[in-house]
Amino acid sequence: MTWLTWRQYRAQFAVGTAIVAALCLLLLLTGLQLVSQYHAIITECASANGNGPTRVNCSIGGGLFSGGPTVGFVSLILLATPVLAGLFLGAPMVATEFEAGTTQFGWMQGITRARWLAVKAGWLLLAAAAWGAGIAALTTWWASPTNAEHGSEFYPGRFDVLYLVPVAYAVFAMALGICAGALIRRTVPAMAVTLGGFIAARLGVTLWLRAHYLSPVTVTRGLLAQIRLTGSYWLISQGTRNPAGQLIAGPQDQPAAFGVPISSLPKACAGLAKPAGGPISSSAGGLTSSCRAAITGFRSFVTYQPASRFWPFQGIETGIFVVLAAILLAVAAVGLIRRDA
Amino acid sequence: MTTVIQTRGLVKQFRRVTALSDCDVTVPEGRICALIGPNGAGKTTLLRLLSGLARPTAGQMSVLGGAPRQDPAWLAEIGFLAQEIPLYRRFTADEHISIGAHLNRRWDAALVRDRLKSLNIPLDRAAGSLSGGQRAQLALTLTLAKKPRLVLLDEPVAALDPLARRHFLATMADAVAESGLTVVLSSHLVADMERVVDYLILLSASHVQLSGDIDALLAEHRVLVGPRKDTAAIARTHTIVQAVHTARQTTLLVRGTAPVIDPAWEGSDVGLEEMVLAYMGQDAAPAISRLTPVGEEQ
Amino acid sequence: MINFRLDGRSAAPPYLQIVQQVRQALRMGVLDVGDQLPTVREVVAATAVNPNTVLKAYRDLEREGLVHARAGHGTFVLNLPPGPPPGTHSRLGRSLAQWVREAREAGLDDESIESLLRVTLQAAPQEEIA
Repeated sequence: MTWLTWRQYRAQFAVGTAIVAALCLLLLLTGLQLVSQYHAIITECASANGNGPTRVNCSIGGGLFSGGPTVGFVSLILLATPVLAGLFLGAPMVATEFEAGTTQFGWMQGITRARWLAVKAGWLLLAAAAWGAGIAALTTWWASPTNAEHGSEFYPGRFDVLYLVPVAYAVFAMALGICAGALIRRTVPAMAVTLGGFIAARLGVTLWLRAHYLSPVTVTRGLLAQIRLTGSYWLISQGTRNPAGQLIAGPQDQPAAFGVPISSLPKACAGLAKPAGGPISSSAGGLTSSCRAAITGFRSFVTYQPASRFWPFQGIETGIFVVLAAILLAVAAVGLIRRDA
Repeated sequence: MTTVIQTRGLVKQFRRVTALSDCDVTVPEGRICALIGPNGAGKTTLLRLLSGLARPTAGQMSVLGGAPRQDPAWLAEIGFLAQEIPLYRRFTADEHISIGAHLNRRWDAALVRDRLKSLNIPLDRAAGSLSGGQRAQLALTLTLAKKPRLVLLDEPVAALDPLARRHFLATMADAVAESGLTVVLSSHLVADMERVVDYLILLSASHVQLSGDIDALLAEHRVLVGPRKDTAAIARTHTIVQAVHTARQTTLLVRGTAPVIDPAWEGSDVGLEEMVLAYMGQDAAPAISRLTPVGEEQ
Repeated sequence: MINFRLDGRSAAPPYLQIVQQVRQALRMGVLDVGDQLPTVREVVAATAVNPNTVLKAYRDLEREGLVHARAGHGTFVLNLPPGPPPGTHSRLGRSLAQWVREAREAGLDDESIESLLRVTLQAAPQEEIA
């Protein structure tokens, strides 16, 4: 059965490997470019500051190094990649055999349907995992400059393409494709369901589930204190509450202080209004003692996932998608073995 | 005498259609059995149930000693050839032979190669580019190469030209002669297969209308021709399968072994096609609900 | 070596055609005592007929004493079929001609004569004169 799987899929495996190789080449080239840009900016920044290259200092103001549109473009490709194998190999795996009627040939040789499915699906899942791992490894290297610069490993869009989770996504997409093909038994509808299901699962998990794997940490301080977070944390929400506990809307184009519109602050602080731009610090002029007293009841808060939770979250999300894949494969097996051929 | 196939009360129901109702079928070993019936009678459904590709809604089945199951030992003994001749279009005959060698315990590759060579069928052309007759021969020899004890063929010769048909049936009959294989082949035409089959299952309107050894069945049926008259007397000693009345004449197809005493009836033997056509006109379940197979030692 | 030709439209079933063709071959001298009949597989390959049909025909011939089956070796011709005693054909031919004249005088046309002959042949039990 392994021989037959190889014989049937050797063209597709070759094409898939070529595409992965092309993607790796893209990552390699843009990655090297990013690395050299990064080092150039560090050097420039350091020489401008004059007191040694310290990345923290050079990051003040943030976004000195963003990598430009290349990063965004490649990131988009990387987000889409895991579904490709499931779409073009997984969904057709069973569906095309049903459409061509060759299941009636294969299943009347000397092997059981269970073995037929297990060997075929096994090799395809392995290929998905291998390709996913290769791309994830190279992506992690590629992303390291921008990650270091922004501490942005944990953010949605970044988290999804690094380390473990892309492998789990690829395996999930393959299992979804195989299941769709096994149940729907027609190639194009199965591909549509695979694509739709993958997008729905990824969006659902990223937008609604991920923030809650472990309860987010909320830190509350008075307006004057600074909340300092370190490492690659994931900022989920932040804001300011007035003494009554109500959330204060953020400043749109109005003059602001401490991150809230001055119009929302007590009258004692009206003098903080400044011409456009410029950060506020407690030592700036205009912060009168009456203002200081008036804003004691105000609280600013930050809800976030600390950087230390990055790896547990990778593990949890990987686990979720692997379990989903296993369930889908079980459903596919039942759908193939217990239904009429 | 061993029975290779035995079913009792077999029913297959789809969402709105009953494909098979209450089918009792017996096929002894070593026979070439014709499964005859009009289009839509349920022949393909019955073959798929016997091969394990589909499951019955109700009833019992014993094929090669047990119910059809996902067991490599059982699967090795049975061959099935679907009507659409399912082969991998991109693979050559040689590659199909390799596939069979990898997926089957018993495999006679030389058998396939020799047969295809003697029929001038190329071994290195993709199956999708062979003619219909060549594909059918390739599929048949692949089915026979695993040396099964029972082979089920669904309308194998319907789309073949007369020469291809002859070669196909000769290959099949030769395998039976050599190894005592049992064959069930379905068709909606009798004339194609008349000389090669010796057992009959007749399906019409999802019921088994007639089954048994063909020679014995033919010996039991007669055509009676006589002047237009009442058939009550004949009906007491024979089963009237079909009655055709014109203004002056009555023609009956009857089943029974008792002699026909009334000299007004002129009796003659009936041919296989004539008998089959008479039964295929039945709309409902046969009058005798549990037909015992004819010609078997009970 | 005899080559069987089976006619699908003949009234005679295939096994009977094989028996008749063997007997005819023996009468004509195509087959002689000691010759081997084609094997079952050879006949099946040439005519796509059921193997049991060939076996049945050979068994019938063996029962008539014309052939003998040697297990593992094949079926061989044992005897030639007996012919009728001399003069039988001419004697019977004459009485048949007389009967045909009678029938025509009675008003039967050729088709009715043939039909009557067929019915009589079928009704009368056939006995092989050993």
